[in-house]
Amino acid sequence: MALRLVLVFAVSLWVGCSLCREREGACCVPSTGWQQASSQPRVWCQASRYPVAIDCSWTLPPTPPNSTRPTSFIATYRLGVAAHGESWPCLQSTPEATSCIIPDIQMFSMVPYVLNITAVQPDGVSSSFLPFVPEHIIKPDPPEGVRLSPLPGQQLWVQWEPPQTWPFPEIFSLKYRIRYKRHGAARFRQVVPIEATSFTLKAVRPQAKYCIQVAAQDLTDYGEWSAWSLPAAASMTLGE
Amino acid sequence: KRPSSILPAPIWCPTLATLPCLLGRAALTLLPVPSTGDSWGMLACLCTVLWQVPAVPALNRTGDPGPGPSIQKTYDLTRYLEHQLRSLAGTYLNYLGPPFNEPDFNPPRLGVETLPKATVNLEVWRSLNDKLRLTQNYEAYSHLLCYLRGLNRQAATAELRRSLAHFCTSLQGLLGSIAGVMAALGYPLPQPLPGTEPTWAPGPAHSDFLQKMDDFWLLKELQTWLWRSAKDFNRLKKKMQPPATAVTLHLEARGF
Repeated sequence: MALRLVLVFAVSLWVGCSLCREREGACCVPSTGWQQASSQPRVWCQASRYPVAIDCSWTLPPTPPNSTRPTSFIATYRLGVAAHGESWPCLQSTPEATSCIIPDIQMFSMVPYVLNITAVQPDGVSSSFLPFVPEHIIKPDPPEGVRLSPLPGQQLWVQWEPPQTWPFPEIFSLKYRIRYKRHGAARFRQVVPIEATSFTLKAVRPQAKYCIQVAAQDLTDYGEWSAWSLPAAASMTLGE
Repeated sequence: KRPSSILPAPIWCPTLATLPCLLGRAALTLLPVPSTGDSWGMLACLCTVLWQVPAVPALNRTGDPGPGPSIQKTYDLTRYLEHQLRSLAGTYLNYLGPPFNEPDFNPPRLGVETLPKATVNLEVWRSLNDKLRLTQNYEAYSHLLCYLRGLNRQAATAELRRSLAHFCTSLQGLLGSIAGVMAALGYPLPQPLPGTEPTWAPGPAHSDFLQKMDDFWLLKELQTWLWRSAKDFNRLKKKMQPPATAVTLHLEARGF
């Protein structure tokens, strides 16, 4: 019987939050006996430091000039959508902070984390729930230190480093894709993903200027690609 | 379009996991599964045989390549199976119907405690030695293959049975590949202790909805194990790489 009640609750929560999407959501859950505040937090989470931590942030919609602003937030999370079960704090620097960190990720699980952000305002409280699976919200920061070196034979050697925020590049490998454009060309060209942190661009035009960017993704395709790195540029001078 | 069959069919795959599997109240002993004429399945089956064979002198050219190539093959197999599972899961979840085929459906993980869990925290995962890492993979897929075969026996449509059989054959290939890596590293295959065989007995009061829930979580657990195995075998691959050699792996975009 208890199992049936839990399942009914889970299905109800799924139906009620069917507009929620992973990484970003603002599920509507009425406050518990308090007057519902006029605004609800909009929450998003990202695992740029997988598997060390998940970083979450939130904002509140703009409020009218004469309304009171929230004074603090309560950030907690649990594993799974069931009502029973332990909840843990999502670590904030201060109660007024609009970001928090979930440490010690449980890897390789389809049981979602459910983050609860409650805004406590003088005129009431409002909550948002965001379910997510850590592997689905991985997005490394862009690669760093992209640099170019001309090589003999009209070649350009591109080197870069994994993002410093990616904690274990040696055991949680990244793959990289490169896009490059000759100055004046209409479109970027792209190189198929590689695991190395360098690549040789061949048959570059002499006297041409090239702009190159690199992006990173988890090697096993978790999550999504990073944003493109800051561009690196080089000019191919005659004889190089 | 899949390549045409290159072997006379059917052929019998060797039984790698001989754990009895209790489903309901009937004990089902794993039997060799005949290939159904599916070429990729046959290739996976051949892999299980070839990787069991000791190194052939004709293949041993300028030195023992070590377990690296078989680890790479196992890694590649996990990626292939991950791709295959996406297709199978889509078909099966549509067969189960709503809410199981809804993308936002997140039921509690209840009643499937005998399913091997892939979930682990970083420190535990990092500290696994090679033997334990491989053993956990082998045991997990042995259990999961057993349960999947039970699913196949109950599948209602020919299309489902075909998809499940194809996946089971590929999964058996993965088991063979893992066994090959363990053999190459000198580790014995785990043997089940009496009374510790995988059991998944739904019980007499198991409703249709709860049975579907069990099936749902079986597919989810398969996915998470394939996620984990990709990481496990990539880690093993890194450990086996010779330190003085600059290795560059080029991955093609596979459109998975």
